[in-house]
Amino acid sequence: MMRGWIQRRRLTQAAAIFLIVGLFALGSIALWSFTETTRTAASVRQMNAVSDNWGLVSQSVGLEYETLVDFLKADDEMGRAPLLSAIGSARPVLEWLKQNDDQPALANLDATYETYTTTLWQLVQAQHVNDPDAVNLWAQQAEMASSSLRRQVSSMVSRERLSVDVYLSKVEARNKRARVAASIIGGTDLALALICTFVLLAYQRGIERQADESKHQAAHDNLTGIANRALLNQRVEQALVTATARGGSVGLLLLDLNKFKEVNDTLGHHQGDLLLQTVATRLGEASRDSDTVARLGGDEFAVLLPEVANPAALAAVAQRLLTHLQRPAELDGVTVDVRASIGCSVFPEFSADAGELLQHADIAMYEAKRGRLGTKVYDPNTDSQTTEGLGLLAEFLAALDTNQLILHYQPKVYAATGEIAGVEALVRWQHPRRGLLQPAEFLPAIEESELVVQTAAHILRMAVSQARRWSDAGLDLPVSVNISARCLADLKLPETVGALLAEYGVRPSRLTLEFTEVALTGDPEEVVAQLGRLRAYGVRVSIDDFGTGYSSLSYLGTLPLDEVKIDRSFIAEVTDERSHAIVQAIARLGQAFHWDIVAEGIEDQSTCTAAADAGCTVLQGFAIHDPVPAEDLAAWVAAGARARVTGVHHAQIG
Amino acid sequence: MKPIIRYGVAATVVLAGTSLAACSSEPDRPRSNKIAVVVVGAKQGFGAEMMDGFTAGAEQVGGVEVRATGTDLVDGPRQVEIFEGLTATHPGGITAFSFTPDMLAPAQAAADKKGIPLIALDTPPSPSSNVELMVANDNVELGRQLAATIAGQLPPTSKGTIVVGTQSPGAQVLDQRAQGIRDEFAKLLPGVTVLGPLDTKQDPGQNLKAWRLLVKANKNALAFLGTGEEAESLVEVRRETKGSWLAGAVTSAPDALLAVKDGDLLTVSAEYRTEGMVAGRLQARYATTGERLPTGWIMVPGLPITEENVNEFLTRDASTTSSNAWSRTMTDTILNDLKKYLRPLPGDS
Repeated sequence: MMRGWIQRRRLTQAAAIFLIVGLFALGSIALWSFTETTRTAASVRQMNAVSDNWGLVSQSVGLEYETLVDFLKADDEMGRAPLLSAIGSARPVLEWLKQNDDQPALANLDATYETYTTTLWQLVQAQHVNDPDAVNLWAQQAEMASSSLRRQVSSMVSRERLSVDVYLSKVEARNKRARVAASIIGGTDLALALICTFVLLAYQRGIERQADESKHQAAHDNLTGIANRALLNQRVEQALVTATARGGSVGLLLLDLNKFKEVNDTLGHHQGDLLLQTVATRLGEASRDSDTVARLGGDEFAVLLPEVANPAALAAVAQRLLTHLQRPAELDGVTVDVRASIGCSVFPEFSADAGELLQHADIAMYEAKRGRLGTKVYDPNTDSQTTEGLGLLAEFLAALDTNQLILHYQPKVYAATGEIAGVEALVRWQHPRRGLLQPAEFLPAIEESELVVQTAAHILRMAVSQARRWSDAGLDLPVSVNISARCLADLKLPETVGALLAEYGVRPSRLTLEFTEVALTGDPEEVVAQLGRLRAYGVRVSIDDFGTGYSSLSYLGTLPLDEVKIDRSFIAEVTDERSHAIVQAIARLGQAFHWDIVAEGIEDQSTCTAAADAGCTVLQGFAIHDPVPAEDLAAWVAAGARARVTGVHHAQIG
Repeated sequence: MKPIIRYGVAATVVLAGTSLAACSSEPDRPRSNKIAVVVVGAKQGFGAEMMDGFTAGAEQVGGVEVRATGTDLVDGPRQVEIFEGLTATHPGGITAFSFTPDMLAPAQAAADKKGIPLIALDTPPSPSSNVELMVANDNVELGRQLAATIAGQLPPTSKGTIVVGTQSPGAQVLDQRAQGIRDEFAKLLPGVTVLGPLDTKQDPGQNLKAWRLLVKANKNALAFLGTGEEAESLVEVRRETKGSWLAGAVTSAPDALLAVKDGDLLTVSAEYRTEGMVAGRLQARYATTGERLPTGWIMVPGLPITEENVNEFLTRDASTTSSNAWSRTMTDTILNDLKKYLRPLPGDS
């Protein structure tokens, strides 16, 4: 297609250039023709003037001869007088011809005329002295001169006429050639003009087609082919006008995929795109022809229903859509569960215009997402709370800048000795109005947002700097930090961690990064490579909440790990025989791979004992110690952590 | 080169080529071994010499059938008829000597269209004839040579009259000789007045009468010169009047040579035989080998004849064989160094 266009463009260029040159040639021929005609006219006029003057010479010579004859016959002076008048009568004309005719023979003729004139004067002189013999002699010589003159003039006239003929023949030949050339060039130009016309028409059709395509593209989403935000807005406006006129209602569904970022980050953008296309297809399938399905951007979709009975009917439609949507999707061999949240708003109920309709659907969608409701119809009573929720991210961003985040540290101890093995950093938000917020109150929203990477870096910096301060205070406390799946996908993470450790002079082995098992379910090669890069810096890697995912043992064996933290759901029931066996199996697996096996969620003595018996090497939980601020932990350790831990351990056991 | 410039150049070249193709054509020339020469004045010395020279030149090449023909006296219309007949019988090439080239031009143009190679002999062809080769003297130069020869016999301070006659006023060749005579006298003898050229008629009897009259009318004239073969009349008048004036003509006829030897005449030879021989050889070469005729004017130089060198000419013209041998040497000289003798046609330069 492109090649065709390029070739057509070259064809047009070539045709246009040939056409221009051809037109220039035609113009040149026309100009030449005009000039030639003008020159020919001037030349012919000049030649005619010359011919006319030769005619005059011929007349004068003839007249002189006739008057000579009359002179010889005349009996008196009156009869002889005409010759006297005629002698030299051709002289002025000859002078003109000498100026205007370039015939070489003219000089000869001029000399002969001079001889003729001289002879005639000699004759007149002889007559004057009454010498008949001399008169006769000069008359005969004059006749010879006259004969010579007349024949020369005749030759000259003939030559002049021939010159005109030859000149006109040449002009005619030149004109004929010019006509042939003009015909050929004109024909070629006509053909080229036709080619240009056809090509231009083709261009015009192409441009119109492109304009249609551009118009379509401007109103539709490139990835999914459904309407985009602009077209949706346009349709919403139209629908509102119609509904207002008819007294009807318009429904708007706003849909946002759950965990789409994780799909994108773990499976890659290609799979993410496929998921979006699948969603678009399913929305289309579940919608009426009169509805408009649109993609607003990212993983956000909308469905406009121009005619809807009431909010309840809209909610039913939303539920039907959600049911149709929430089926597993096959994305190039990978099966993904599709989950979404749908917000519904209705015009004119609570929404007076298009802007409000969209805003209210957005708020409802946020409510649905936050409350994991699936679908939610806009309720003005919850609007203020939702608005608050929407402002969370802005506040959190400010919190990062103003150091409102703080870390609490929960110690981990060796099961065998009770000695402190390290601490896990757990983030809290010292909110200026709402007080100390637990992670569950803000982290889910953060992890869904673009702030997640920035937040991880911030927490890492806090933990590493604290490790530095402890080290400076004589405490060698390894620190664990939880890292989300999206941060694991961040290729700059190893570099960030390495730079922090270098900046604060903390030994890499004193930092453990914990990733949930779910976070490690992305592309195995990329996960292994990323963990390898982290370990290359000397950082320890831990798998958190182990047992909640679906990692195969073979995949687990390929992971470069230092530690496995068994999920608290197993530890809580470790006293049961079945859970005990599972924990024991994991512990043996860890032993085989030289992993530390951490039992988290140690809440009481029996759990502590059972976990230790099952082979867990490190214990963590409220039974050991609550998460506490760094200074409290330092005080606890300074007060004799090992003895106290053991004491606490024994006290709880006892 | 940028594409747009390349396209522009290509377009110009193509259109220019198209235009040129439309503007030029080259007729295919058939080849035949039958060639001819047609002259006026075949019974007069100059015409006969041209025909003899042409025949000899063609035979020197060989392989051709030659026809040499013409009108007895100067008869333009009859020559045209003969020429047109030759275009049918002798398409291998036709050489023509005419005193009326304009009259012959249409027939020559028609022959050229048929592809017959043409040569104009001694007289410039008419521009409309399409004849591209002329073998001829420089007639102005011949006139100059004759005048210089005469002037060499007169004191530079001479004053008086010199009378010039011509048998065919208006004939370009003779007019040019008259022009050369006058120009040279004006240069060498500025005190002399040149009369004429006056019509001294072709017919020998009338020519003799004309010269008698002119001599009588201009009894004090220093010299009487004819532009053509008027030696016989001039010599006769000089002898009967026992005149001391000088007589001059352009001829190499045997009687004229004897008159030169006797001191009654000074003359210049136009070398008509050599002219004919050059043309004959070129026509024969074309007919037999396809060697194309040169384009332009092959100038055959004239030779002044005085008492000092007249014996050489008498010896040369003692027989046709010796005349042809002389002309053959000159022809070889000319054709072997053609560049030296080749000029643009009059009016083409």
